[in-house]
Amino acid sequence: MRAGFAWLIARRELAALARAPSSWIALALASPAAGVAFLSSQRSLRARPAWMVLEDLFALSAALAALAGLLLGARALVDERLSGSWVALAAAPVSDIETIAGKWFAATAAATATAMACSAPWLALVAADAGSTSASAAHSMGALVGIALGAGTSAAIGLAAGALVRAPAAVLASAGCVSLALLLAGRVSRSVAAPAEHAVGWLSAELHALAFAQGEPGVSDVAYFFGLSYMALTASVVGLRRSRWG
Amino acid sequence: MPPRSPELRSAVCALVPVAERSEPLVAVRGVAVERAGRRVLRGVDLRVVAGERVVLLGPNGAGKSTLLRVLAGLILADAGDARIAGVDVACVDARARLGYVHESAATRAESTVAEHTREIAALNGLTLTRALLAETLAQHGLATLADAPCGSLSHGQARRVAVAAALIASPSVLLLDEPLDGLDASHADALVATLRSASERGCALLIASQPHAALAPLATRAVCLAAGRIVADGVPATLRAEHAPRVTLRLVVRNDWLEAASAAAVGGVRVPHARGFACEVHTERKQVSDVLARAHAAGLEIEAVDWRPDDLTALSLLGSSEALT
Repeated sequence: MRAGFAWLIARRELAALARAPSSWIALALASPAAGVAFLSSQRSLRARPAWMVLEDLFALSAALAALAGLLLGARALVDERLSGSWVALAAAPVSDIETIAGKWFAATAAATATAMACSAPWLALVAADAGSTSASAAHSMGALVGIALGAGTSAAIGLAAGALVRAPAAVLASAGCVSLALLLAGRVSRSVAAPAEHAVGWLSAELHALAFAQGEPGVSDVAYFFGLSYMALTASVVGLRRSRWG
Repeated sequence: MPPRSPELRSAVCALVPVAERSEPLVAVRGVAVERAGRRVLRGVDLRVVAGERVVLLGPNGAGKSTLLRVLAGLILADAGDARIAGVDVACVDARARLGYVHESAATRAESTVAEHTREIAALNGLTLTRALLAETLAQHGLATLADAPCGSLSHGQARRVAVAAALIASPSVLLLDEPLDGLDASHADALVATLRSASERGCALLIASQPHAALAPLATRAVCLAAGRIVADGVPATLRAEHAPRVTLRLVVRNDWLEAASAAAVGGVRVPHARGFACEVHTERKQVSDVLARAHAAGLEIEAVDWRPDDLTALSLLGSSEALT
């Protein structure tokens, strides 16, 4: 893979996102919505330690990043097909791996930035309010890495749906179904018999995302997001290659 | 024959040394494409060398655009072998040597003309300076449209943008799908001049088009496709001599009925028509007056005559500006 070409595709994708009015409208709507969601989660609980408030904030940001990643990943190929610009990209001397890598990077970066833009004011407020109590930098850094990993994994799942399925509605539906299955895996595991319980439980996105939100991620959590992203990106490349068979 | 699996084909691409990649620039052997149960291309063989200017002719659905899409790597053939400069079209290296103009606008509506051109150049590994970009756009009559969003362009302007972008990396092979569609006469002539100059630099041109007078002086070879097969291939003048121009005459008669026997008298068949029935005759152009005379003798009161060229008659239009009207 030539990194320069992947970066070129990413820049092309980010420029298209920045030009689209719908991007800014979505950001303008998401920001106050995230604020309202965060405040409502804090209303009933007073005098909580800073790390607990941060945990809620990071969990909310992770959910926002995952949703944004999923939508941006899914639209990355669908938009190109609908506008007809896919032809220019498919006929250009850029490999399918470079195309997917560029689009994935752009969707991940945009989703992470969206989540950060929506939660940054609250993060600053919590940090200022907590003073030097328990709002540790390590907790924040761990959570930020988790947000980026979650956004990347969702973007990869969205991309895979866009590469494997043609109809726009089916792309969203299939990406949504996979994400929902990963979210619900934890709850499903409780109703599964003992040997499979652990394996199904490990698939739970909620479990691993919470570990990051708490600022205590383990190797298993990192491996989960990397593994899922790798599988989804491989499926995207295979889907793109297969699409040339019509 | 290359392996069918795209993954395997990509792996093979990396193993083929450039030294083994020899002429011709376009080599198609036994290419077949089937889509939705319909055989769009049936064993097409074609070789195009450097500097050759080939016009693909044929009715709608003959497979012209599909053949170009196969060569551009947009779709992979179900059977056969297609190569650009000796490289399998599934490989990135093949796409690095060609420019492709799609039949519809392949641009993001919100990108400006300058951004799109710069982007295509970058995808081909080129960095356009401001001066070079301005020169390129001016060359194609697009200087005043540099900052216009691609979505706001007319069809003809969008074609010129597509051609400018396709030529930007000086490709060895240029594939053009209906390049003159929507262009006025002066821009069509300017495009033909641009294509001729690209060809003189060694670029092989493959142009899928409906018959167009402006293409006549450009084509060095005409390939006629019908139902996914090549039915004629050669120098336009020779083909014109070999295939006497044929037309399909449709005689709309004033009689409110048309007996099969009357139709047979002029050597045609009875076909449904808005007024009941008409008589359809396939004949050579020079026999048209004889057919009309026979129709008159058979008692048919002719109200109107429609005629259209048969597939191979398209060749006659390539070599002259004469139109069948």
